[in-house]
Amino acid sequence: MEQAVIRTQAKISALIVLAAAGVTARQGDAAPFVPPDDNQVLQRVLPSADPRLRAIRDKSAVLAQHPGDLDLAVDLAARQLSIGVAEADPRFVGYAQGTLAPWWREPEPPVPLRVLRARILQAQHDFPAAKRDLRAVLAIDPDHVDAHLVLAGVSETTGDLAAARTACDDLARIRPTLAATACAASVDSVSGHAEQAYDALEVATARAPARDPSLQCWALTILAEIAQRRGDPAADGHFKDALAASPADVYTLTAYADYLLDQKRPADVTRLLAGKNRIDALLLRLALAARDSGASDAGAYADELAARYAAARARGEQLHLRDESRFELELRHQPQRALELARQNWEMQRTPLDARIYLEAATAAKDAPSIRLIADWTANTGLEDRTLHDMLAKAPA
Amino acid sequence: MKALLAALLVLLLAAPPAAAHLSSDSYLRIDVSDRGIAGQWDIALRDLDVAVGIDANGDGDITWGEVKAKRREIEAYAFSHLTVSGGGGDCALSPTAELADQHADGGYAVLRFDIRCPAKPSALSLRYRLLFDLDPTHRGLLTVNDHGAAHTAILGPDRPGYSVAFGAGQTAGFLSFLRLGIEHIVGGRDHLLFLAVLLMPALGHVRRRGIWASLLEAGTLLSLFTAAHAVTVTLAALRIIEVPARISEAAIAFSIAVTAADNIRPFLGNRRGVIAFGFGLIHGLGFASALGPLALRGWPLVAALVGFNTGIELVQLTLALIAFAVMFLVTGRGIRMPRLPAGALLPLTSLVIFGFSAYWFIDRSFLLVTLP
Repeated sequence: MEQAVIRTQAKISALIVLAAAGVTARQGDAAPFVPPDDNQVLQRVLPSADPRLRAIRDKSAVLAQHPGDLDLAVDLAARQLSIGVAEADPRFVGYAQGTLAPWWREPEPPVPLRVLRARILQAQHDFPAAKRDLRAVLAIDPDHVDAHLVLAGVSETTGDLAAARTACDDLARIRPTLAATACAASVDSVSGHAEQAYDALEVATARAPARDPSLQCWALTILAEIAQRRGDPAADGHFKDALAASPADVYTLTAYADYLLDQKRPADVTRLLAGKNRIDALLLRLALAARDSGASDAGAYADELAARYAAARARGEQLHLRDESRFELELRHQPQRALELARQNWEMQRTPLDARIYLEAATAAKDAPSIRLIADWTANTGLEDRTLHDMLAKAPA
Repeated sequence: MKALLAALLVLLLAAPPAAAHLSSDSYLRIDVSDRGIAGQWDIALRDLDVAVGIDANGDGDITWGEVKAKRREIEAYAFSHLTVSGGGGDCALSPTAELADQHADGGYAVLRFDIRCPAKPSALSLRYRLLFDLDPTHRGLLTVNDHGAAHTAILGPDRPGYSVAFGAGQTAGFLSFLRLGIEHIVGGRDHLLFLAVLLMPALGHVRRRGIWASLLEAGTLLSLFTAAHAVTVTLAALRIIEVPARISEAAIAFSIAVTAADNIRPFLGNRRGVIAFGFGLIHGLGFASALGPLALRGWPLVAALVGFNTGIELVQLTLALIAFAVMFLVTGRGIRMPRLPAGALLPLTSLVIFGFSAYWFIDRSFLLVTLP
């Protein structure tokens, strides 16, 4: 009797091992196949009727006739970059770089091209090179609005708040618009002046809705994030207004999904991001929402994410460090690995979001020095972030 | 119920895959075997659509039918952007099959082809140019499989070429892992300290028992230590065991403390061989974290592991020999430690090392238990 039980158990374990082996083999070596049906769809691309794509195609054709036309190349590359940023699609960022290839390595390219090159470098997370280009442009043309705006963004991302604030001030001096106000509010809100920043930006967004919906969306997202960090429930409305201005904005969708996850509203995340799982950042939020709501597809989402991170790693790319750290921590329960990724990420960028994942991973991995590092950073910047402060209060110092 | 399942399965298979937005990669694999050289090249349909235009009706759906219809164009495009040379000239790339596959970022066309060189090559050189003009961030992820030994490379506009000499794989692998082993032990404070406390007694009575007997004792201890860590390094590299670094780090500190304590007030008797082996198992876990899981199989894996462990052993033996030579010379010339009875040197140094390692152990295990 007992032996029979043992035999059954052995058989079950053998089956589990076989199944596990099968799953890993399937992930490791995808097997090429001949699709049985000619109508089987293998890949979706933007339809050729897409107006953005049509413009790109037309301009590429003209550029092929006039390969040295700098203005045309800059125009085309800017269009490619904007799809890349809007769809969070690194291929289009690569096409933009390809369009600029004849001038890409020039030490001193003309100003419009150099600003665009900085924006491409920013999208590729090469922040030091982007800063070099922007500073060089501003040395030639101190009133270049875009250069100041991008420099403010890059500086804030890398934690150089003083440089970011200077860029915002210059922006306000040249053209005191919503962009300048949002720029300053974003920096001030993470350096000890969250309340004034919020009030100023709230007035500005209400008074002068921007004609440019992407600018309006950007400003409202900053407003929402300030409210979120202060624990103000108005954040929800601001996020919704931002998405009303620009419904497909990946940054805002990601930020709103994170807010909803914090608010324990996974069902709203699933609704918000339905059908948007081709973007890695959004797939991660879908996976977290599936886990929080106990949905059965949580595991499949996690496997898909693991495959994408592995593909990026195979080519030596590091665009995902923050998200990958969160993935390892929350979905794979590997605090040491998460901490290592969060640490690498911290070397590249230092926003409140980067601080948060670093602190979460450090707390889970029980790494006291890292916890102290974030505590010191938070104290030094004067960051007002309720979640972060609550976590620090609970973390062992 | 079965019908429902079948319907679900059809739906799942027919549903177009959710393609991720990743940077552009192709996967180029070249297999060298006794039967010849064959290649397989997986190129993203998104990239091929930009390069040669596959979505013929422009509806945004790339179907297998559309891929088949463009097979000639796809192959012409791909093979005009890859040069393989060997055996005294450029090799002919002749397509043998076209298939499909799914990778993390969506659908791929899979091109299989034969590589025929002017003469049987002893080495291959590749030049890769696919898509670089359209997207300089494109990368070719290359694997050359030479009779089971894998060479990998990431090909980009700055590094479009790659050369591989056949049969050199295992020697090169052995040497590079030998170097890794040497680097690791030289930089490994914990391991060297453990070896120091382990060998100190043998070192101490080199004069009394003679150099050969002492050397033999030290050599035996070192070999036992190496044999043991070879076991755990292998198990960890094969992912059969996995121990978190913070646990093995604490255990390593513990091993130093215990051995140092034995030097001060012997309680292990003549079981030091057992200690060398047992703690060697623990130190192997530490080495394994430096090595990481290896994506090797067969002989290349054996070459890597033997190389790594040999590197460690070489450094250990060299340092031990130096220590013995110094000790022999010093005591042989009758140089005495001033104001210090000869018998006090061993307990005193051991006490210092015990203090350090006990502190590390407490520090490392404290982090394990006290932080939530």
